[in-house]
Amino acid sequence: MSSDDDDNPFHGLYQFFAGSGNDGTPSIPVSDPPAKNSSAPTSYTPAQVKGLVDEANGFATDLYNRYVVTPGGHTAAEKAKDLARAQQLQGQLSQMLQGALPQSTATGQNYENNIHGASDYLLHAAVNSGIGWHVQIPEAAGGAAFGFDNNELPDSGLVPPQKIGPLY
Amino acid sequence: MRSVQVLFCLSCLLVPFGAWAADDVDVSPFFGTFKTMCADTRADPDAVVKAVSGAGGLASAPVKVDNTIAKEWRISIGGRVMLVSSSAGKSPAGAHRERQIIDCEITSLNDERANLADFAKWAGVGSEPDTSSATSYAFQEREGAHLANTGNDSDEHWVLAIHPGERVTTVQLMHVMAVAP
Repeated sequence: MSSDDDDNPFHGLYQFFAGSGNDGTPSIPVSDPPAKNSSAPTSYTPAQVKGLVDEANGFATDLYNRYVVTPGGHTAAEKAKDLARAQQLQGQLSQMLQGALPQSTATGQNYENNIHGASDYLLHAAVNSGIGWHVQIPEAAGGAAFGFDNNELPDSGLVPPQKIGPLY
Repeated sequence: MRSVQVLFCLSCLLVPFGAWAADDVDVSPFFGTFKTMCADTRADPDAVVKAVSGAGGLASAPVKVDNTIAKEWRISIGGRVMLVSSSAGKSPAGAHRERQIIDCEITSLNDERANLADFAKWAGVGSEPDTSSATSYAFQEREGAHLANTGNDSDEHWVLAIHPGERVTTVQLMHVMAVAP
């Protein structure tokens, strides 16, 4: 194993990362992203990538547990707070993908894969949780964009079900 | 700090996508649903819609976030409630590049930690996933066989991620396209 691998929390063909984010690994403070350099993409360390990925995965799992597995009893304020957190994490993941990611000498794609995965996992968790992620019908399907806020969402843990129809 | 686990690609290799036939009787409903909805469809959003329609899924309204469109369904198979999620979109791949990514996820509202070995086998790995933390597998696919990654960050590839939990488990299959010039 190379010295580069020793710094790579995702090393190995198969990447393992703690979904709970509570393994003591240093993580990026969500409110304090790395400073931007106007002339070069922001560079990220392996620990920073793992920290944010763990944060996002852990939060997504938490959303499933609190809203989907145990629906009901959620206040509008709680939903609003969770929505803001999900969107903040999503924005940070997107920003990270535009930066300079550390390279894994062993398998390349590790870092980017984990960021993409966390982004999609979080998006679906947020939507399935019904915390109020903006909802719209794709314009290509002929629908106009629409949205609803947290107070309009049913507290069932899911957005209102619809039978699959010609919309799709 | 939890130790990072490393597995080597010992058995990765040449496992065709179709190796798990629909008539496999010993697989769990969780894996069977993943196979039908995500693997057999190659995570293609249109194919996922057809597959989940056939299973009587109830759809939620589609969501568009940035350049990604996501769709969600709720299904019940074998007495197990599961959520099927599909998304497609373009994602940054560096400061001035992007790549298309399609994603298919199955979330089971059950304890599926005893049913995760089939996923590793499907990906082409002999070792079972960690049941206490997330595991992901990256591989390439050539003519139905799963191969080790090239290590070239820009190449097309696949990622299978497993998020286990006591009350909810999600498996995620991503098809990551080559970086657009």
